Amino acid sequence: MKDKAAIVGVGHTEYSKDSGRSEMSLAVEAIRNAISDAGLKPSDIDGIAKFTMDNNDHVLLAANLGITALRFFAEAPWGGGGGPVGSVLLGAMAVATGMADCVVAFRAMNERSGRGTQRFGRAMVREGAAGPRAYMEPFGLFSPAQSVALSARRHMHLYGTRSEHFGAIAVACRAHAQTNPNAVMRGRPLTIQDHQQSRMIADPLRLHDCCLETDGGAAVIITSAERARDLKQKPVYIMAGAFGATDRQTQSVVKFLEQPRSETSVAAKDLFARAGIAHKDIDACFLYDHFTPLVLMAFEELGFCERGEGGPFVSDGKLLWPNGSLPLNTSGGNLSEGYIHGMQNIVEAVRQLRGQAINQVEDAEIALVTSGNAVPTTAMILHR
Amino acid sequence: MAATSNFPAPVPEFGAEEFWRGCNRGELMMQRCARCGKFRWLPQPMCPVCNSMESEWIKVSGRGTVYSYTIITHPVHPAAAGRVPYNVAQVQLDEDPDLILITNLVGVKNEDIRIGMPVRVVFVDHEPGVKLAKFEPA
Repeated sequence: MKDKAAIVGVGHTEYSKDSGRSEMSLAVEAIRNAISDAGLKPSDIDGIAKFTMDNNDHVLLAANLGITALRFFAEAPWGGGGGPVGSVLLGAMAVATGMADCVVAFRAMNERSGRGTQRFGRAMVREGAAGPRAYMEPFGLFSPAQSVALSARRHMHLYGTRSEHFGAIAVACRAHAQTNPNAVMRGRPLTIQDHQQSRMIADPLRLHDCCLETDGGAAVIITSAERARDLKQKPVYIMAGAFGATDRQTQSVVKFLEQPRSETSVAAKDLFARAGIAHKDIDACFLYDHFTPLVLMAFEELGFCERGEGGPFVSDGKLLWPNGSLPLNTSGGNLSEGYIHGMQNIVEAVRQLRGQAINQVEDAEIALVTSGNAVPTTAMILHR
Repeated sequence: MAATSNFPAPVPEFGAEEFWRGCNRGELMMQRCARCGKFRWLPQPMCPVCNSMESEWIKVSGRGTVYSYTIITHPVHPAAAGRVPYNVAQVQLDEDPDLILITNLVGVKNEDIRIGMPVRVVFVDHEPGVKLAKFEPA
């Protein structure tokens, strides 16, 4: 699949705490903007790849967009885990195999206001706990943050990782949001001291270790490399993609750090082999930042450093634009731009490789984009 | 009992009933492969090591160590409001390092919990007719 597909359009809506409109309206606006950015018409789109958990249905979307012949429809499961990069990879595989010409991948939700989507930071109130939840919820373990706290504590115990190390990730993403007019957290800078003083959610996770909850939509258009060359924007090629999961993910986002492999390391092994590049070739990284400890662990599992070295790795300034050698989530990420389940990170990666980013990384050629760590995940490497 | 006043009770899934029955009679039961003897958790129909479909339920010692824990201070469920701060822990059973249960620690102050501390199982009423396996310092 190397370089056979390209991202040719990106679009998004406003990111807010209450959109005041339907999730369909958010999806349609984000997709319309992406189509327009690509210089295409809605009737050029013949494929839709969505998150399984996205409430917008393929056929209703096709009706809204005026797609009269939908030739490809697919879903990427696992929420924010498999979703963002997974939906793009489904689109890339479809165009690379000739199943479709132009596929849209998107995420649109009213996750913060709850107009259609349940907030992840709130527990669903149910009469009983079924399936794997039977072994968690009766004990009061409900939210992803609470599960991540268990893995974060274990990491601290094994490797001497400190809360300040987690904080370095939050501070970097927040700094990048300050120049982004669409970032929810623009105008609210964050220091490591602010992070350390923020309230505890599930010890050791503090408020600023947790991503935002946001209403909004983001979309990208994928087409063949051949067609991409004739379109309005400079193509951003999908150099490689990979999926990854293990047998240890039966309990939500609980990780087992001593296992020889993780979902992210499984994906990373394929990803770098398929791309044929080394870690040092990455100019900017867009890691799915649901919780800071999982970003730290993702750097380890992606192979940027050894297991246990993530704390020092993220804390030396390398993640900070413009001077860091590996800028992270240059528009603010899930932590500070808006929580569109990582789709907004893909939009930003494309802007970087086109040279259109606000916090532009000089001469950015190659970007790494991941989906959520600690759930079945997906990752891709893009280049201009 | 209203769903908002207590954490939800477990719905025993098909094939895992013996774990929950064991809790209710005060025995910690773990699933073990009847062919190769490998313990597994969560309960599942086939042994991932030798692929045998035959398994047995073994009463284990109930002894283990704290693998990790969190102190939850932000209530996300209505029933959590009156309980924060409360702990949720993972306990690794002595019988097999792959047996790591999510539980609560009782009989210990939250600030005294440490990874590696030895613990033993106790069965605590969740609601009438339903006990849960929790752990106390051994």
